[in-house]
Amino acid sequence: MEITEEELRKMSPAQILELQKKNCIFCQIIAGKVPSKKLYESDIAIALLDINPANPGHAILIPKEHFQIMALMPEETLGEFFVSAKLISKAMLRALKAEGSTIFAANGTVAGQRAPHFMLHIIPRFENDSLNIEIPQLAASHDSVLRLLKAKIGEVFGSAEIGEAEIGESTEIINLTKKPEEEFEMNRELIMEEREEAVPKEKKEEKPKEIERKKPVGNDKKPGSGINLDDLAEFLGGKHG
Amino acid sequence: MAECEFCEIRESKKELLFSDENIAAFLSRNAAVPGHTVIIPKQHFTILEQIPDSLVRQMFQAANKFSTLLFEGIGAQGTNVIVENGNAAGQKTAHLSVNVLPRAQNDNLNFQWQPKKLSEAQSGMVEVQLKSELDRSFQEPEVDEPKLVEKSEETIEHSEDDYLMRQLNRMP
Repeated sequence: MEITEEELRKMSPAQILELQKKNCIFCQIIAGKVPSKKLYESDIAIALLDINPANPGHAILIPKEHFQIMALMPEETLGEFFVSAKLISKAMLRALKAEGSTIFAANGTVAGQRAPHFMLHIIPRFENDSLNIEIPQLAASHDSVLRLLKAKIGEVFGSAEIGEAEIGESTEIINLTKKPEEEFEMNRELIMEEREEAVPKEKKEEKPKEIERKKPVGNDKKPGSGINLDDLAEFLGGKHG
Repeated sequence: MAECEFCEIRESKKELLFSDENIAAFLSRNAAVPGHTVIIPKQHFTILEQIPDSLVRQMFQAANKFSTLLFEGIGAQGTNVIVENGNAAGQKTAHLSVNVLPRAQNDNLNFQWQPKKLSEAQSGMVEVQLKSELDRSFQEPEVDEPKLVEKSEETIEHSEDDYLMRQLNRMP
Protein backbone atom coordinates (compact mmCIF):
# COMPACT_ATOMS: atom_id res chain seq x y z
CA MET A 1 0.00 0.00 0.00
CA GLU A 2 1.53 3.28 -1.09
CA ILE A 3 1.02 6.32 1.07
CA THR A 4 1.89 9.79 -0.12
CA GLU A 5 3.55 12.38 2.07
CA GLU A 6 0.40 14.44 1.71
CA GLU A 7 -1.67 11.66 3.25
CA LEU A 8 0.93 11.09 5.95
CA ARG A 9 0.75 14.72 7.01
CA LYS A 10 -3.00 14.51 7.43
CA MET A 11 -2.81 11.48 9.70
CA SER A 12 -3.18 11.73 13.45
CA PRO A 13 -0.29 10.48 15.64
CA ALA A 14 -2.45 7.49 16.54
CA GLN A 15 -2.98 6.67 12.87
CA ILE A 16 0.71 7.00 12.16
CA LEU A 17 1.55 4.65 15.02
CA GLU A 18 -0.99 2.19 13.64
CA LEU A 19 0.68 2.37 10.26
CA GLN A 20 4.12 1.84 11.78
CA LYS A 21 2.91 -1.24 13.60
CA LYS A 22 1.47 -2.64 10.40
CA ASN A 23 4.80 -2.17 8.63
CA CYS A 24 6.97 -3.33 11.52
CA ILE A 25 8.76 -6.60 10.84
CA PHE A 26 9.08 -7.32 14.55
CA CYS A 27 5.36 -6.84 15.11
CA GLN A 28 4.82 -9.34 12.30
CA ILE A 29 7.23 -11.79 13.91
CA ILE A 30 5.40 -11.41 17.23
CA ALA A 31 2.08 -12.00 15.46
CA GLY A 32 3.55 -15.17 13.96
CA LYS A 33 3.24 -13.86 10.39
CA VAL A 34 6.98 -14.01 9.81
CA PRO A 35 9.02 -17.07 10.85
CA SER A 36 11.78 -16.67 13.42
CA LYS A 37 13.89 -18.71 15.80
CA LYS A 38 12.00 -18.08 18.98
CA LEU A 39 13.80 -18.92 22.22
CA TYR A 40 11.30 -17.76 24.76
CA GLU A 41 8.03 -15.97 25.16
CA SER A 42 6.44 -14.20 28.15
CA ASP A 43 3.33 -12.07 28.46
CA ILE A 44 5.23 -8.98 27.47
CA ALA A 45 8.22 -10.06 25.39
CA ILE A 46 9.73 -12.63 23.08
CA ALA A 47 13.36 -13.60 22.62
CA LEU A 48 14.75 -14.65 19.24
CA LEU A 49 18.09 -15.63 17.85
CA ASP A 50 19.54 -12.63 16.03
CA ILE A 51 19.89 -13.39 12.32
CA ASN A 52 23.17 -11.45 12.24
CA PRO A 53 24.77 -12.76 15.41
CA ALA A 54 27.87 -11.19 16.92
CA ASN A 55 28.50 -14.58 18.55
CA PRO A 56 26.67 -17.91 18.34
CA GLY A 57 23.62 -17.67 20.60
CA HIS A 58 23.24 -13.88 20.27
CA ALA A 59 19.63 -13.22 21.27
CA ILE A 60 17.33 -10.25 20.90
CA LEU A 61 14.60 -9.57 23.41
CA ILE A 62 11.64 -7.67 21.98
CA PRO A 63 8.66 -6.19 23.79
CA LYS A 64 5.42 -7.51 22.28
CA GLU A 65 3.96 -4.06 22.18
CA HIS A 66 5.37 -1.70 19.59
CA PHE A 67 7.53 0.74 21.55
CA GLN A 68 9.95 2.72 19.43
CA ILE A 69 12.36 3.49 22.24
CA MET A 70 12.88 2.25 25.75
CA ALA A 71 11.53 5.42 27.32
CA LEU A 72 8.06 4.68 25.94
CA MET A 73 7.78 1.41 27.83
CA PRO A 74 5.68 1.57 31.01
CA GLU A 75 7.82 1.15 34.09
CA GLU A 76 6.38 -2.19 35.12
CA THR A 77 6.80 -3.68 31.64
CA LEU A 78 10.36 -2.40 31.55
CA GLY A 79 11.14 -4.07 34.86
CA GLU A 80 9.80 -7.44 33.70
CA PHE A 81 11.59 -7.05 30.39
CA PHE A 82 14.99 -6.79 32.07
CA VAL A 83 14.25 -9.63 34.47
CA SER A 84 13.79 -11.76 31.33
CA ALA A 85 17.10 -10.42 30.06
CA LYS A 86 18.82 -11.63 33.22
CA LEU A 87 17.39 -15.12 32.79
CA ILE A 88 18.45 -15.26 29.16
CA SER A 89 21.96 -14.20 30.13
CA LYS A 90 21.98 -16.90 32.79
CA ALA A 91 20.87 -19.47 30.23
CA MET A 92 23.80 -18.44 28.03
CA LEU A 93 26.30 -19.00 30.83
CA ARG A 94 24.82 -22.40 31.52
CA ALA A 95 23.80 -23.81 28.19
CA LEU A 96 26.45 -22.24 25.95
CA LYS A 97 29.20 -22.08 28.55
CA ALA A 98 29.52 -18.40 27.87
CA GLU A 99 32.08 -16.60 30.01
CA GLY A 100 29.98 -13.46 30.26
CA SER A 101 27.37 -11.50 28.39
CA THR A 102 26.99 -8.10 26.84
CA ILE A 103 23.57 -6.55 27.24
CA PHE A 104 23.06 -3.73 24.80
CA ALA A 105 20.23 -1.38 23.87
CA ALA A 106 20.23 1.52 21.44
CA ASN A 107 17.76 4.36 21.53
CA GLY A 108 17.93 6.44 18.36
CA THR A 109 19.74 5.96 15.07
CA VAL A 110 22.86 7.77 16.29
CA ALA A 111 23.09 5.13 19.02
CA GLY A 112 22.92 2.36 16.43
CA GLN A 113 19.19 1.62 16.47
CA ARG A 114 18.19 0.08 13.15
CA ALA A 115 14.53 -0.83 13.55
CA PRO A 116 11.70 1.31 14.90
CA HIS A 117 10.81 -1.38 17.45
CA PHE A 118 12.84 -1.24 20.65
CA MET A 119 14.91 -4.34 21.38
CA LEU A 120 17.62 -5.55 23.68
CA HIS A 121 20.66 -7.47 22.47
CA ILE A 122 21.97 -10.18 24.75
CA ILE A 123 25.29 -11.44 23.44
CA PRO A 124 27.09 -14.42 24.96
CA ARG A 125 30.76 -13.54 25.40
CA PHE A 126 33.91 -15.62 25.37
CA GLU A 127 37.48 -14.67 26.25
CA ASN A 128 39.24 -13.37 23.15
CA ASP A 129 36.15 -13.34 20.95
CA SER A 130 37.39 -10.06 19.48
CA LEU A 131 34.00 -8.39 19.27
CA ASN A 132 35.39 -5.01 20.29
CA ILE A 133 32.13 -3.69 21.66
CA GLU A 134 33.49 -2.74 25.05
CA ILE A 135 32.82 0.78 26.29
CA PRO A 136 35.98 2.81 25.67
CA GLN A 137 37.58 4.28 28.79
CA LEU A 138 38.40 7.83 27.82
CA ALA A 139 38.09 9.75 31.09
CA ALA A 140 35.87 12.29 29.36
CA SER A 141 35.19 15.35 31.51
CA HIS A 142 31.65 15.83 32.76
CA ASP A 143 32.09 19.54 33.40
CA SER A 144 29.95 20.51 30.42
CA VAL A 145 26.96 18.43 31.50
CA LEU A 146 26.89 18.13 35.28
CA ARG A 147 25.11 21.43 35.85
CA LEU A 148 22.46 20.55 33.24
CA LEU A 149 21.92 17.09 34.67
CA LYS A 150 21.55 18.36 38.21
CA ALA A 151 19.09 20.99 37.08
CA LYS A 152 16.80 18.36 35.59
CA ILE A 153 17.33 15.33 37.77
CA GLY A 154 14.74 16.23 40.40
CA GLU A 155 12.12 16.50 37.70
CA VAL A 156 12.93 13.09 36.25
CA PHE A 157 13.29 11.21 39.52
CA GLY A 158 10.56 12.93 41.49
CA SER A 159 10.87 12.63 45.21
CA ALA A 160 13.83 10.24 45.30
CA GLU A 161 17.01 11.17 47.05
CA ILE A 162 19.27 13.20 44.83
CA GLY A 163 22.97 12.74 45.29
CA GLU A 164 25.67 15.14 46.36
CA ALA A 165 27.77 15.27 43.20
CA GLU A 166 29.29 18.71 42.85
CA ILE A 167 30.58 20.47 39.84
CA GLY A 168 34.26 19.85 39.44
CA GLU A 169 34.30 16.93 41.82
CA SER A 170 33.75 14.32 39.16
CA THR A 171 36.88 15.28 37.27
CA GLU A 172 39.01 13.91 40.06
CA ILE A 173 40.69 10.86 38.61
CA ILE A 174 41.64 8.09 40.95
CA ASN A 175 44.24 5.56 39.97
CA LEU A 176 42.31 3.94 37.16
CA THR A 177 45.00 1.56 36.09
CA LYS A 178 44.64 -0.39 39.32
CA LYS A 179 43.01 -3.73 38.70
CA PRO A 180 42.20 -5.62 41.86
CA GLU A 181 43.14 -9.12 40.85
CA GLU A 182 41.12 -10.72 43.59
CA GLU A 183 37.95 -9.14 42.31
CA PHE A 184 38.63 -10.41 38.84
CA GLU A 185 39.18 -13.85 40.19
CA MET A 186 35.92 -13.65 42.09
CA ASN A 187 34.11 -12.61 38.94
CA ARG A 188 35.59 -15.53 37.05
CA GLU A 189 34.61 -17.98 39.76
CA LEU A 190 31.03 -16.75 39.78
CA ILE A 191 30.76 -17.12 36.04
CA MET A 192 32.15 -20.63 36.30
CA GLU A 193 29.63 -21.44 39.02
CA GLU A 194 26.75 -20.26 36.88
CA ARG A 195 28.05 -22.17 33.92
CA GLU A 196 28.60 -25.41 35.71
CA GLU A 197 25.54 -25.47 37.88
CA ALA A 198 23.20 -26.76 35.22
CA VAL A 199 25.35 -28.03 32.41
CA PRO A 200 26.04 -31.74 32.24
CA LYS A 201 29.73 -32.41 32.53
CA GLU A 202 30.32 -34.44 29.45
CA LYS A 203 28.65 -32.22 26.93
CA LYS A 204 31.01 -31.63 24.06
CA GLU A 205 31.85 -28.09 23.26
CA GLU A 206 30.83 -26.46 20.05
CA LYS A 207 33.52 -24.64 18.17
CA PRO A 208 31.73 -23.01 15.31
CA LYS A 209 33.79 -21.89 12.41
CA GLU A 210 33.60 -18.17 12.12
CA ILE A 211 33.26 -16.51 8.82
CA GLU A 212 32.96 -12.81 9.10
CA ARG A 213 30.79 -10.74 6.90
CA LYS A 214 30.36 -7.02 6.69
CA LYS A 215 27.16 -5.72 8.16
CA PRO A 216 25.36 -3.11 6.12
CA VAL A 217 26.00 0.30 7.56
CA GLY A 218 22.92 1.97 9.00
CA ASN A 219 21.83 5.03 7.13
CA ASP A 220 22.43 8.04 9.25
CA LYS A 221 19.95 10.79 9.33
CA LYS A 222 20.30 13.97 11.26
CA PRO A 223 17.66 14.21 13.93
CA GLY A 224 16.00 17.49 14.69
CA SER A 225 17.12 19.51 17.64
CA GLY A 226 13.88 18.66 19.47
CA ILE A 227 14.43 16.49 22.50
CA ASN A 228 10.84 15.74 23.28
CA LEU A 229 10.53 11.97 23.53
CA ASP A 230 7.36 11.80 21.49
CA ASP A 231 9.02 13.77 18.73
CA LEU A 232 11.99 11.48 18.87
CA ALA A 233 9.79 8.43 18.71
CA GLU A 234 7.93 9.89 15.77
CA PHE A 235 11.19 10.62 14.06
CA LEU A 236 12.43 7.09 14.64
CA GLY A 237 9.23 5.53 13.48
CA GLY A 238 8.68 7.90 10.60
CA LYS A 239 12.08 7.14 9.21
CA HIS A 240 11.43 3.44 8.95
CA GLY A 241 7.68 3.31 8.75
CA MET B 1 35.84 -8.29 50.33
CA ALA B 2 38.58 -6.70 48.33
CA GLU B 3 38.26 -2.96 48.13
CA CYS B 4 35.84 -2.05 45.40
CA GLU B 5 35.94 1.25 43.54
CA PHE B 6 32.16 1.37 43.19
CA CYS B 7 31.58 0.54 46.85
CA GLU B 8 33.92 3.41 47.72
CA ILE B 9 32.00 5.79 45.50
CA ARG B 10 28.76 4.62 47.08
CA GLU B 11 30.10 5.11 50.59
CA SER B 12 31.75 8.46 50.09
CA LYS B 13 28.55 9.83 48.47
CA LYS B 14 30.45 12.80 47.07
CA GLU B 15 30.08 11.73 43.48
CA LEU B 16 26.56 10.38 43.61
CA LEU B 17 23.99 11.86 41.29
CA PHE B 18 21.24 9.80 42.80
CA SER B 19 20.70 7.20 45.44
CA ASP B 20 17.83 5.43 47.11
CA GLU B 21 17.57 2.41 49.39
CA ASN B 22 18.99 -0.10 46.97
CA ILE B 23 20.72 1.64 44.08
CA ALA B 24 23.12 4.49 43.44
CA ALA B 25 24.14 6.37 40.31
CA PHE B 26 27.13 8.52 39.44
CA LEU B 27 29.01 9.88 36.45
CA SER B 28 31.69 7.50 35.24
CA ARG B 29 35.23 8.31 36.37
CA ASN B 30 36.46 6.92 33.12
CA ALA B 31 33.68 8.05 30.84
CA ALA B 32 33.38 7.29 27.15
CA VAL B 33 31.48 10.57 26.69
CA PRO B 34 30.43 13.44 28.95
CA GLY B 35 27.29 12.37 30.80
CA HIS B 36 28.20 8.65 30.82
CA THR B 37 26.23 7.47 33.85
CA VAL B 38 26.81 4.36 35.94
CA ILE B 39 24.02 2.74 37.94
CA ILE B 40 24.97 0.22 40.61
CA PRO B 41 23.21 -1.88 43.20
CA LYS B 42 24.32 -0.58 46.61
CA GLN B 43 25.04 -4.10 47.71
CA HIS B 44 28.15 -5.55 46.13
CA PHE B 45 27.11 -8.00 43.42
CA THR B 46 29.65 -9.05 40.85
CA ILE B 47 27.53 -10.38 38.01
CA LEU B 48 23.96 -9.85 36.85
CA GLU B 49 22.93 -13.43 37.59
CA GLN B 50 23.45 -12.84 41.33
CA ILE B 51 21.11 -9.89 41.54
CA PRO B 52 17.56 -10.52 42.79
CA ASP B 53 14.81 -9.81 40.27
CA SER B 54 13.32 -6.93 42.25
CA LEU B 55 16.67 -5.17 42.24
CA VAL B 56 17.16 -5.87 38.54
CA ARG B 57 13.84 -4.09 37.92
CA GLN B 58 14.89 -1.09 39.99
CA MET B 59 18.27 -0.78 38.31
CA PHE B 60 16.88 -0.74 34.81
CA GLN B 61 13.98 1.50 35.69
CA ALA B 62 16.58 3.94 36.98
CA ALA B 63 18.65 3.43 33.82
CA ASN B 64 15.59 4.32 31.78
CA LYS B 65 15.11 7.50 33.78
CA PHE B 66 18.73 8.43 33.25
CA SER B 67 18.26 7.82 29.55
CA THR B 68 15.35 10.27 29.62
CA LEU B 69 17.42 12.69 31.68
CA LEU B 70 20.19 12.60 29.08
CA PHE B 71 17.71 13.27 26.26
CA GLU B 72 15.94 16.08 28.04
CA GLY B 73 18.70 17.48 30.22
CA ILE B 74 21.71 17.59 27.90
CA GLY B 75 20.06 17.17 24.51
CA ALA B 76 21.36 13.70 23.69
CA GLN B 77 20.29 12.52 20.22
CA GLY B 78 20.29 8.92 21.35
CA THR B 79 21.32 6.73 24.25
CA ASN B 80 22.90 3.35 24.76
CA VAL B 81 22.19 1.16 27.77
CA ILE B 82 25.03 -1.33 28.20
CA VAL B 83 25.88 -3.99 30.76
CA GLU B 84 29.29 -5.60 30.58
CA ASN B 85 28.59 -8.78 32.51
CA GLY B 86 31.79 -10.67 33.24
CA ASN B 87 35.45 -10.14 32.37
CA ALA B 88 34.94 -11.65 28.94
CA ALA B 89 32.39 -8.90 28.25
CA GLY B 90 34.89 -6.22 29.23
CA GLN B 91 33.66 -5.67 32.78
CA LYS B 92 36.31 -3.50 34.47
CA THR B 93 35.04 -3.35 38.04
CA ALA B 94 33.83 -6.47 39.80
CA HIS B 95 30.65 -4.69 40.90
CA LEU B 96 27.90 -5.07 38.35
CA SER B 97 26.84 -1.79 36.77
CA VAL B 98 24.45 -0.52 34.11
CA ASN B 99 25.97 2.10 31.85
CA VAL B 100 23.87 4.76 30.17
CA LEU B 101 25.65 6.72 27.47
CA PRO B 102 24.33 9.82 25.73
CA ARG B 103 24.97 9.69 21.99
CA ALA B 104 25.37 12.34 19.32
CA GLN B 105 26.31 12.49 15.66
CA ASN B 106 30.05 12.04 15.13
CA ASP B 107 30.80 11.29 18.76
CA ASN B 108 33.41 8.73 17.68
CA LEU B 109 31.77 5.88 19.55
CA ASN B 110 30.98 2.71 17.68
CA PHE B 111 29.37 -0.34 19.18
CA GLN B 112 28.70 -2.15 15.91
CA TRP B 113 29.76 -5.73 15.72
CA GLN B 114 30.74 -7.83 12.74
CA PRO B 115 28.07 -10.50 12.25
CA LYS B 116 29.25 -14.08 12.19
CA LYS B 117 28.01 -16.46 9.57
CA LEU B 118 26.77 -19.64 11.18
CA SER B 119 25.69 -22.81 9.45
CA GLU B 120 22.13 -24.06 9.87
CA ALA B 121 23.47 -26.80 12.13
CA GLN B 122 25.36 -24.34 14.32
CA SER B 123 22.46 -21.98 14.82
CA GLY B 124 20.12 -24.94 15.26
CA MET B 125 22.34 -26.24 18.03
CA VAL B 126 22.53 -22.99 19.99
CA GLU B 127 18.78 -22.59 19.53
CA VAL B 128 18.08 -26.00 21.07
CA GLN B 129 20.58 -25.44 23.88
CA LEU B 130 19.20 -22.05 24.84
CA LYS B 131 15.58 -23.03 24.44
CA SER B 132 15.80 -26.07 26.67
CA GLU B 133 17.72 -24.16 29.31
CA LEU B 134 15.18 -21.32 29.20
CA ASP B 135 12.22 -23.70 29.36
CA ARG B 136 13.77 -25.14 32.47
CA SER B 137 14.57 -21.86 34.19
CA PHE B 138 11.17 -20.33 33.51
CA GLN B 139 9.51 -23.29 35.14
CA GLU B 140 11.48 -22.53 38.28
CA PRO B 141 10.94 -18.85 38.91
CA GLU B 142 13.34 -17.18 41.28
CA VAL B 143 12.12 -16.46 44.78
CA ASP B 144 13.03 -12.90 45.51
CA GLU B 145 14.91 -11.94 48.60
CA PRO B 146 12.53 -9.63 50.44
CA LYS B 147 15.26 -7.60 52.14
CA LEU B 148 17.92 -6.37 49.79
CA VAL B 149 19.85 -4.61 52.49
CA GLU B 150 20.78 -7.85 54.13
CA LYS B 151 23.22 -10.26 52.65
CA SER B 152 21.41 -12.26 50.02
CA GLU B 153 21.71 -15.99 49.86
CA GLU B 154 22.66 -17.72 46.70
CA THR B 155 19.68 -19.22 44.96
CA ILE B 156 20.55 -22.68 43.89
CA GLU B 157 18.52 -24.58 41.40
CA HIS B 158 18.22 -28.28 41.80
CA SER B 159 16.63 -30.29 39.06
CA GLU B 160 19.41 -30.78 36.58
CA ASP B 161 19.04 -34.49 36.05
CA ASP B 162 16.84 -34.71 32.99
CA TYR B 163 18.56 -31.90 31.19
CA LEU B 164 20.30 -34.06 28.64
CA MET B 165 17.30 -36.24 28.01
CA ARG B 166 15.12 -33.27 27.36
CA GLN B 167 17.60 -31.76 25.03
CA LEU B 168 17.74 -35.00 23.09
CA ASN B 169 13.96 -35.12 22.87
CA ARG B 170 13.95 -31.68 21.36
CA MET B 171 16.21 -32.58 18.53
CA PRO B 172 14.32 -32.33 15.27
